[in-house]
Amino acid sequence: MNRLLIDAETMVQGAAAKAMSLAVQIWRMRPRISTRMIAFFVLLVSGIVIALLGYFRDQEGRVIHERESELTDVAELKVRQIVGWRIERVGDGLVLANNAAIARQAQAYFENKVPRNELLHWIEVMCVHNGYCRAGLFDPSGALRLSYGDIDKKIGKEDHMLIRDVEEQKTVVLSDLHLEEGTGSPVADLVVPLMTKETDTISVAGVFIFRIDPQSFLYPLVEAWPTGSRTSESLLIRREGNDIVYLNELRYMQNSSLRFRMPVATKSLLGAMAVSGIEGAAEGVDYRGVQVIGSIKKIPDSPWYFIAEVDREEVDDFLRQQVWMYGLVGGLLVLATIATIGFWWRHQRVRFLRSQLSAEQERRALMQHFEYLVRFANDIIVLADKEFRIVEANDKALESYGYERDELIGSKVITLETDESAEHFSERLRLLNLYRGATYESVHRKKDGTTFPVEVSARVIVMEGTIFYQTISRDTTERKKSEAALREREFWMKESQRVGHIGSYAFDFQKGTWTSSEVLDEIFGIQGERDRTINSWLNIVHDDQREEMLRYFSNDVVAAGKSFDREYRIVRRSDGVERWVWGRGELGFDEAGLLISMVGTIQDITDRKLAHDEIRRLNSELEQRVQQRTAQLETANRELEAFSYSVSHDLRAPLRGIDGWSLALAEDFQSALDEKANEYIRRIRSEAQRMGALIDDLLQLSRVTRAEITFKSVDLSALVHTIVARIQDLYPGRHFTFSIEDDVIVEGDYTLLEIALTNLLDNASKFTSPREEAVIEFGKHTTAGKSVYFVRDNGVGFDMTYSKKMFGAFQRMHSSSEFPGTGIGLATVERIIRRHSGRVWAEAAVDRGATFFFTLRESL
Amino acid sequence: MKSKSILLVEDNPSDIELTKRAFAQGRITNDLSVVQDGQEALDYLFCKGKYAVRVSTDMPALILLDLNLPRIDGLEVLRRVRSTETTRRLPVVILTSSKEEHDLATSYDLGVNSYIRKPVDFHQFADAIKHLGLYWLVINEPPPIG
Repeated sequence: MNRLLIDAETMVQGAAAKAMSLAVQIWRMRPRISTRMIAFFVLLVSGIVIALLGYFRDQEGRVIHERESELTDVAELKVRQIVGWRIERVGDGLVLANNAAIARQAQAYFENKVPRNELLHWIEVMCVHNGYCRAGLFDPSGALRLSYGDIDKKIGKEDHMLIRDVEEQKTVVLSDLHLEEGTGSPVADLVVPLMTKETDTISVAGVFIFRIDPQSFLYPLVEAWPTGSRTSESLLIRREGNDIVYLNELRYMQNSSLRFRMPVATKSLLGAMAVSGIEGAAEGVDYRGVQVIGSIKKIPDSPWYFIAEVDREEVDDFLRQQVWMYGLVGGLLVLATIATIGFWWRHQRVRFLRSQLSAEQERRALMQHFEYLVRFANDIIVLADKEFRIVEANDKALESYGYERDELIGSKVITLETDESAEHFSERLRLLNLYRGATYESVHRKKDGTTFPVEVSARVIVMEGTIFYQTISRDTTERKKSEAALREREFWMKESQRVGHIGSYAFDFQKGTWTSSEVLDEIFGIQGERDRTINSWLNIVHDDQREEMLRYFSNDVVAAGKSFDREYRIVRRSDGVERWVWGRGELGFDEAGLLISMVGTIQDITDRKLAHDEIRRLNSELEQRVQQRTAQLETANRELEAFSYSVSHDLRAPLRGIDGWSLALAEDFQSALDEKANEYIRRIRSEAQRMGALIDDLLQLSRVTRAEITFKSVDLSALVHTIVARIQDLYPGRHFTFSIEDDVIVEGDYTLLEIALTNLLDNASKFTSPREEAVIEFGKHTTAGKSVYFVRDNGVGFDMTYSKKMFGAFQRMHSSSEFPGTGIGLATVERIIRRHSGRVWAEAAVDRGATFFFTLRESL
Repeated sequence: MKSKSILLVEDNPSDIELTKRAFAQGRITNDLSVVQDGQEALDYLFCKGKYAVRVSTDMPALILLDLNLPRIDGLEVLRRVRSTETTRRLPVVILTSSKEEHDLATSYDLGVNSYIRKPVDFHQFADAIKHLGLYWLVINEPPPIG
């Protein structure tokens, strides 16, 4: 599957998916009064209720406990006071009982020795002061002798029995509460024996009885409640048989004191609990059958029990108030919670609406982007409905298939397929429906019938509940071509590796192994071997170079981060033959700069190396030969120079002798010589001078050949002016017209160019000698971009038939009698021009003048 | 006063004679001493060898020096003349067949006073000698002695 096509598809579908996911996101973000929220709310409220209930339970326990301890405190306080009161009473009695004075006084009274009033007064003071309501004094026989507060009428049988007991036992007794004889009011009696001591016998002189009205002190003490309470009550009880007797006056029952009884068997009764030995806090019912809580305490040294109690209802009332208060607080809390949640929800909703708006905008932009992508995509995008009718196609599709939009929309997808590819239609459809997407290669047909290969990515997409088929196709004509080209290139690559003996490898530093091309395996001779590590490479390297190559690889390449580039020897594994290879490799790094790979080539360069060695050998041989030749040439040159020197020097000396002595002969023997002899002498001298000229010219010729040449800018016009001035001096009688072009400037050797131009101009002046007016011209013209210089004269000219010969040495076009000359001048000119990489030639006709042309090396 | 002498250094007997003839024709009567190689020329000038008896202050007014000489060549003679205190100011004229650039350049570098190429034509040669003598012996003021 083409990667690009996937990319395009991913892009298009990515845009659609993004738009859709955005919609989902919006939906998810909306605030809902969901069951979850309700549950949360319920949880919150029940949490509050449970918390309140818990708190209430706790409070209830605490309140009850508080009440109970309060009651206990009260009970303890009261019991202590009651005990105190009793001790005080008994104490009073004991003080009195042991008061011998009073006893004597009483005895005296009994014996009528003191008046009645005296004792009665004391009794009165005693009663008023100590809170006794009545009192009486009995004599030892048990007869009442003194009565205070009408006690005489209020003494019952039981009182008499008690008095007798006290008399016998000689001890102070505080009687229990009982109903008074006559009045029926509850009273208690303090019975005190009046004891006298005579010698060792203690005798009872009389018995006092002090009647205590509990209403005056004891009952108020019991009933007084230290704290404010609506229903609180304190009770004093005792057991009498199977009954509980209530001693004090009850709060809710009139005239109950000592008269009201309850059976012990009433289990939940607090009194029953008390008499059964329970002490401390207790909960039960009171005499009214009302639920109470209370505290029970036994009063020591007495048959009494004290109960402090309060109605349960009072406690419950308090708790009920608390419940109301907590209920109110809870209600307010719930209300506050609802308000908070409501506010939060409202806030969320506003936020949601806001985000929905922006998300909707983004979604629209994405849809637009998606549409744009589809419309202008470089791939063919076609959307078909479930009947496979095309419902949408992008511009690329129209362009590719060659249909108009109206034609394509509504037509069947299958019309785009070739007959052959249509055969696979149903199979593809099956896969498409199975996997919701498929990619395949096919061939499509254009409107004009031509076909083209495509790569198709098809998808089933559902839009608003309707199934559509979307295909994205790419024309792969070009790719098919390039694939073929690639295969071809790969083939050639492989072939060239083979031909060039170049193998390639890739070394993976992480794995420590390398992969190799076939050719590399051939070069190393490791076909069929599996091991490709650093060590296996080093094993292939020649023994002599192994350490060196390891060092090179690790230090100069890996550590230095440089390319591998080395020629080294290996021993081919397959046959043990020593070969030269040229290894090259480039290092590869990852993003973090970590060395990961080395990729490169290894070329078998043994042949080249051998050839190279051979070339080097040949080269050095050649160089040696060149050196030899150069030396030889230098020697020859030196010899030639020496020769030229001798020629110029030694050959001319005899000529000078011949000339000189011939002249001496003519001069000294003038008279002896006739005309003929003089003529001979003249000829001898002429020949000698010609020989001199010849030698000079030959020397010049050899010099221009050998001379070092220096290229500089030379003004030929100026040079010509100088030469013609010399010529005019040389032939003062002749009439010359020189026409010299100005500013002809060339690159050349001044000395050599001077010799050449001198020769040419000498020639021109020589061959114009028959003319009355010699016209000599120097100039330059340009032909085909090249400068051509010329020297023209109007002299005798020459026959062009021989023009080829004339630049050779000793070649003459005219007899020396006509025009003297050595025939070396033009040869010299030709050498000089040649040394300037130029050419010289002539155009002439007999009697019609001559023109010598030459070119020079163009300036660089 | 004794007339100024000329020293001719020339190995070719024919040239010696022709030079003498040219001097004669040019009416130059100055004393002409001839030495035939470079060594002899130096002996003459530095009063050595067979010229040891010569008075050292009696220097020639002009030296005519050929270049191609046996034993010590003319350029070497010139070099020694110019590097010796007693002779360095003497007028030296090279008289030679050579027209080699090398010879010309070296001669002038060594401080020659004049360089004349002997032409083949005796007329021209005689002419040159005549001018030479006239110039160096008559017109030219000689250098101070010592």
